[in-house]
Amino acid sequence: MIQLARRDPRYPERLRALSSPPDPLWVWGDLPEPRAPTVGIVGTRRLTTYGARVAHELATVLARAGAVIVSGLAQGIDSTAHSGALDANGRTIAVLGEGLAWFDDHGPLRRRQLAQRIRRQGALVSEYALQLRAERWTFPQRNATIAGLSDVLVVVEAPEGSGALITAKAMADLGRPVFAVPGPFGAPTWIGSHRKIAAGEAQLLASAQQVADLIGLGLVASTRPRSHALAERLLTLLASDAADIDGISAALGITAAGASTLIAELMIAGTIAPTGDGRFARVR
Amino acid sequence: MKLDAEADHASRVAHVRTCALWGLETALVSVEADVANGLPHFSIVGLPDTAVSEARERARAAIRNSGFEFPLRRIVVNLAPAERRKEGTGFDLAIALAILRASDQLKTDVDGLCLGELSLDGAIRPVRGVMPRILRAREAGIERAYLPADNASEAAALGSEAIALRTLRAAVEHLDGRIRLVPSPTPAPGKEPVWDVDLSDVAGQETPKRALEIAAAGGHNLLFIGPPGTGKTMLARALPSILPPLEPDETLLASAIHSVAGLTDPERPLLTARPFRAPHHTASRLALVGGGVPPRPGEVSLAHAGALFLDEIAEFPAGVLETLREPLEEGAITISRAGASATYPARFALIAAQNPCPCGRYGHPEAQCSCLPDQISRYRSRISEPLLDRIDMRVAVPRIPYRALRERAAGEPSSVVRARVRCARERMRERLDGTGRRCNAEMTKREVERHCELDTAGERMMSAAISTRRISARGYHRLLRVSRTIADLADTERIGADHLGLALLLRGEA
Repeated sequence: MIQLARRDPRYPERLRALSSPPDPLWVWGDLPEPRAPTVGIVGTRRLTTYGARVAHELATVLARAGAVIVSGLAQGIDSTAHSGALDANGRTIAVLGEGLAWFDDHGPLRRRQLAQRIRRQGALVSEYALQLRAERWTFPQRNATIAGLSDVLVVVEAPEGSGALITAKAMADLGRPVFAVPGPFGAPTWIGSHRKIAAGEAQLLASAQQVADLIGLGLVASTRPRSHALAERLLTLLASDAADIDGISAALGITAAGASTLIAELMIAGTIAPTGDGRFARVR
Repeated sequence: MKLDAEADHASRVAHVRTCALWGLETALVSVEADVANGLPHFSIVGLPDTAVSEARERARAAIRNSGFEFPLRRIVVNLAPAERRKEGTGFDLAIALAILRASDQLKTDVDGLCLGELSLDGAIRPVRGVMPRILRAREAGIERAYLPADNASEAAALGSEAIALRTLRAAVEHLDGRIRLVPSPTPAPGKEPVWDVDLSDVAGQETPKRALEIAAAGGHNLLFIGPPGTGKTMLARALPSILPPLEPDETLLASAIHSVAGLTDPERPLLTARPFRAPHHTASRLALVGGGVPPRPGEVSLAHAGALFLDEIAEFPAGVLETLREPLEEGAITISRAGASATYPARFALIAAQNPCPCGRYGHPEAQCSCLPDQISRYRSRISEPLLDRIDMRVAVPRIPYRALRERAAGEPSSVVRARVRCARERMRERLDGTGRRCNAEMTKREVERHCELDTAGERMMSAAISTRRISARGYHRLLRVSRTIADLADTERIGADHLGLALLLRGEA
C-alpha cells in the first residue's frame, strides 16, 4: 500500500478536476496507465438477476475493449461490475469507503477474495487513513471519488436515495457524461435510474456501443454464437429475469422434459447458469 | 451317592435365558442364580449397569409381594457372559425367576427367553427393544418367549411363541402348569395405510413432483427451495404415498429400530409403510442422530429405509446438520460413548425445504425482497458445502398465481406415480441383485461405472459438462446415479442426453 500526494506525478490526473480531490490517495496494487479510458459502473447493493446480468455484461464488453472499470467494491452491482472486468481479463479500480488496511482485516470474506483478484489486475484505492473503518459519512465522499476517476458513468440499477445517484450528481458537476440503464416499469430498484433519465440528467443506455463510441473504443464482437431458434427464444425469455424449469416450459410452450434438455444444453454452453435456488439466469 | 451329590449341587444353581441389547447389537445372556447358606446377602455380578443393579430391589419386592418368600440366604446372580456391560431393566423378570427356581419355589426349569421389567407389586412392565432380542433368540433356536403383555405382539409378529405375562405370580403358575396361558396370536398384517397427502392434491409444480418421484425411486436426496406457502411441505409430505413398499428384511430392521426406540405400535408391531420422519428444527443433536444412556436411535435411524424430512433446514443449528454427513455417506451412524459404541443403520432419502432468502421473497415477481446479497449468501451457506454436495437435487418451488392455481388440471395421482417408482425399483433390484444394495443412491463407485453407461449423446454432454462446469468427483458419481434413476423411470437401459441433462439441471449448482 502506498500513498500518493497530490503533487506526486503518479497521482491520477482525472481526480484533480474534483473541487476537493483526495489528498493523499492510498493505492494498493497498480493503477492502470492514465491514458486508458475509464468507465464507472455503479448501482444498488440489492440487485436483481437482470441488473446483475447487465452490470456483468457491460463490464465484460467494455473491459475487453480496453476500458478500465471503476466501481466501489460494495456487494451487488459494484462487485458484479468488478468481476465482469476481471472475467474479461480487463483492468479495474475499486474505490473503497474505508481504510485499505481496515478492509483487509475486517472486510467480508467474499469481497476480500475479490479484492485479491482486483489487486492483480488493477488497484484498490481509498482516500481514508489505512485503519479508518467504514461509516455512514465516508460513502458520499467515496462516491464522488468514483466520479472523479471515471470518464463516463453508467448507473445500472439504482433505487431512490441510492449512493449511485450521488456519483451521478458528482459526474454532472464535473461535466462528464452519465448513462442510466432502464429497468422494468415501476420496479422499486430502478426508480432512481428512471428519474435520472426522465429528468434528462442521464442518457438512456440501450447498448454498450453508446459508451464505447463516446470514449473512442472499438467493441470486440460478441463472442456468443447465435443458437437455434428455440434457444434464442429461451435467451430472450431469460433476458429480463431468472426462471425455473416449469416457468420456462410454460412460457415456451414445450414439455418440461424438452425444457430440461434445452436448459442443460445452454448451461453447458455457459450462456445460462443456475442461481442456486432452483432457477436459471442468463449470464451472457 | 456321588451322582446324587452332583444332582443336588446342580439344582441349586438356576439358569434363565434372556438377551442383552447395545444399540441394535444383541447377545444371549444366561442369568445364573445361586442361593447358598450364609448371612443374608444379595448381589448381582457380570458387569451390570445402574439399572441392572437396581433390579435387586425390584426383584426382592416383587417376589415378596407376589406371595413368595425372598430367601434370607446368600444369593449371587451372575449375568453370563460377564465381560460386557449389561444395560436396562429387561433382565428383572429373568433374575426373579432364576432366584425362585434356585430356591425351589418354581418347580420347573424356564425353557424360553425371558424379558420384562418388574414393578414392586409384582406386575410386569414393558421394555424397549424386544424385536431385535427376539430375532436373536430365534436365530439361536429359542422359539418361546415370556414377555410383558404390552410387548407380546412384537414377538408374535416375528413368529415366536409369545407368552404374555402380566404378573410374576402368573409367570410362575404358568411355568409350573397350574394355569395355562395361550401364546399371543400373530397380529394381523397391517393394511395398506391411507396417506394424508396425495400428489394430486398439489396443484402445478411439475418439476418438483418429478424430482420427488426420482428421489422416491432412487433414494436420492432433495432440497426444495421456494418462498413460504408454495407447497414445499405439502410436496414433501406426499412422498410416503409414492415410496415403494417395504421389502421383508427392510420391514424387520426398520421395525426393530422402532422397537429399540420404544415407538412400536402394539396393534401393528411391524411397519406397513416406509418411515417418514419430520423432526422440528429445534430438535437436539441427540434427538436427530441418537445417543443417551442407554443409547437410543435418533431420527436418522428411525428414518432408515424411508425418508427424513427437514423443513426449514437453514434453521437447524449448523452443528446438528453436520452430524448428518456420516449417515448420508455411510448409511449408518455410530454413537460412541466411554467404553461402548453402538451402530445404528441410517440409510434414508433426505428431503429438505428452505426459503430462498431470510425474508422469503427473493425471486418473487411482485414483492420486493429486502435481503442484501451478503445476507442471502450467508443464509444459503448455513447448509455447508460438504452437506450441499450430498444433496442430489435442488428444485425451485415457485409461487403459482391464483388464477393458474384454479385453472390447473389435477396432476397425476400418487398411485400412478407409485407404480412407475415400483417398476424402476424392480430394475434396480435386478441390477444390484446379490449385493445387498437395492436402490441407485446406494451404488458403489464401481457399480456406478459398471451400470451407468451413457449413450453417444450422453457421453458428449457429460464431457462438455465436465470441461465447462467444475464437477467434483463426488458430484460426478452422484450425477450418474440420478441419471440412472431417471433412465430407470423411463424404462431404458442406456442413459441418454435427456436423462443426464435433467440430472444436471436438478443438481443446480450455482
